[in-house]
Amino acid sequence: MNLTWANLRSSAAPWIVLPAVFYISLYLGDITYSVPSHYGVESGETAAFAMAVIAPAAAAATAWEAGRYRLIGPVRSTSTRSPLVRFLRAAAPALLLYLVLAVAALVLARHATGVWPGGAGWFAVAHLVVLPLGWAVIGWFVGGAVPRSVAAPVVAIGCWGWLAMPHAMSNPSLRHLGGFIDGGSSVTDIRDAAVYLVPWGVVAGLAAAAWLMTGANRRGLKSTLAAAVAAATLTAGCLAVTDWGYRVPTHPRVVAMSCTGQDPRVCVPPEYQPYAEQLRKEAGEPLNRLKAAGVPAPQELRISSPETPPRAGTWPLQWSLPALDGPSGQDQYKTDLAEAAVAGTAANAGVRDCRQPGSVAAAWATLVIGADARSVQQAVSPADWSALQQIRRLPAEEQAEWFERKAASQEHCVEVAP
Amino acid sequence: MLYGDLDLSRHRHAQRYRHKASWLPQNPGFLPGMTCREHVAYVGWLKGMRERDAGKAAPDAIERVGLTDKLNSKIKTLSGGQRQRIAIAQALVHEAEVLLLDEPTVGLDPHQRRRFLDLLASLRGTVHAIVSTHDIGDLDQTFDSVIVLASGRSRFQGTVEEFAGHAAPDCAPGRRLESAYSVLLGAAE
Repeated sequence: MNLTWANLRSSAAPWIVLPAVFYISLYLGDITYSVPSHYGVESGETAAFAMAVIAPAAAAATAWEAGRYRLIGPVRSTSTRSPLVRFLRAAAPALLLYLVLAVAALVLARHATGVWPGGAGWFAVAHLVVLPLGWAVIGWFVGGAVPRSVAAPVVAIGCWGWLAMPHAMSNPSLRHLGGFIDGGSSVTDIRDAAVYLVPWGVVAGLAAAAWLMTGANRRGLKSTLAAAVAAATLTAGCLAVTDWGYRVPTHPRVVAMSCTGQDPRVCVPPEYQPYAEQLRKEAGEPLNRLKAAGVPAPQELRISSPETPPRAGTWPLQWSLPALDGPSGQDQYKTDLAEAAVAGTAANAGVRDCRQPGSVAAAWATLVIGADARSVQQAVSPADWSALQQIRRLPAEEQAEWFERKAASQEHCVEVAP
Repeated sequence: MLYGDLDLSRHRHAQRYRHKASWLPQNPGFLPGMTCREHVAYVGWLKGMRERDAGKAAPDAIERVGLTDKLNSKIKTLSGGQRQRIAIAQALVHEAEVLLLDEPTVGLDPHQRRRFLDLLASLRGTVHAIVSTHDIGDLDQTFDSVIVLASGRSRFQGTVEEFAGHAAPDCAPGRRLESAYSVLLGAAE
């Protein structure tokens, strides 16, 4: 006879599996926009989005199991087994539920991205393990003190609220403490480790507070200590993220680029290598038009981090994978090349471009390349469009000088709150 | 507090003591959804037995309390008296040396009480049982010794016969134990 099987059979946790997996599949499907990227980091981070389902489920299931085992009362308190071993045995159904959901999230993420997690993606997978485990511990303590019919929904709702609600608040710091991370890594920039470590510390502090709060003896003193621990945890967490703003900190990805062709050479992260030749060919005509308009052609088009200033002769290219519902129009690539022209021209002048899209110079370059004029007009203000029409009437040489001046001036850059 | 050579104020000794002793509270709790066998085996594991050994010992413990036919029944299907016997079984599974029973016959009808006391009698020689009760009716020849406590102090310690000997001379037949209890507490007051 296997006690774990007996525990699982008599537990309510297995009933949560199917609805939770269904919810995870809907959720991950909703955040999948492009064709599979074959990017290991994205795979891990996509799986970690399932945290919003897994953490509340793990917390509620563990609270329920704690309530079940509370019913045997003195037998537990007179056990010879250590508290950790008793927890692992008693919470086994909840922990198995959590494991099944985490595996489901990884499989669904693999389906969406085409690869298993890799590189920094494993940090995101660790996050998927640590954070729900922390909430499971909180659920265990609460379920051991409060009737399970109250504890389970309270911790589930509390967990979900803590993960989701801060993202709807104006305070930017709170959203970084819960662990539900808005914004993923790109092929050029990776989330900093602190993005994960801060929520781990916060959930550990909250678990310690829950342990103190639900202790059987000296309730008054322990409640006071619990409140102090919770307050200190949140304060320390806020201080740790005070300069992050609304976005999570990232750093440039260090990876060997895959380069193809000449004039221009196109260098992309290895995940985009299948698209490199296509990008090079489709850039030919637009670059020729810009060259004819007086804008020197680049030696290299490079998909790189905004944190990494391009060398002279290199245009930083911002390009995204085709959408799931079909490839984006040619105009999107023309827009991408126009923006690259602005940044590359600024680099040639020794100026580091702010990489903010939507400048008048980029709109001019988009028209030169041959994009639909109406879509360009809709993308700029009426005043800018009017100014652009006047520029377009100038001789070609003057237009090119104007473009170079505008790109180097960085007038289109605005101060953005971090 | 000492149990043999075990000093219960020391953590390691307390662990060994917990393996040797089993406490049956007034209202024993059971794991919802488990069968009698599973629950008894789980308690055996909690008391330090290996899982496999607990699984093998559970049916024997349940047989000793006369509930073999309920081996694979869910505990929620048992009567109050049967649940008390399962509680004894969970104490027997890990071969405890001493059972501490707190008001074990509360809520049992006379038939269930008689079966319970007969069960305790059958355990004589294999385990020590210490029963705490307010019900004089629980006293019979099953017990070797009686201690009467009042306000935390012992008022009497001796055999059941010696206890009954304190009854008032003019007490009604069949009420000697109650009379003895009243006399002892009255003397204490």
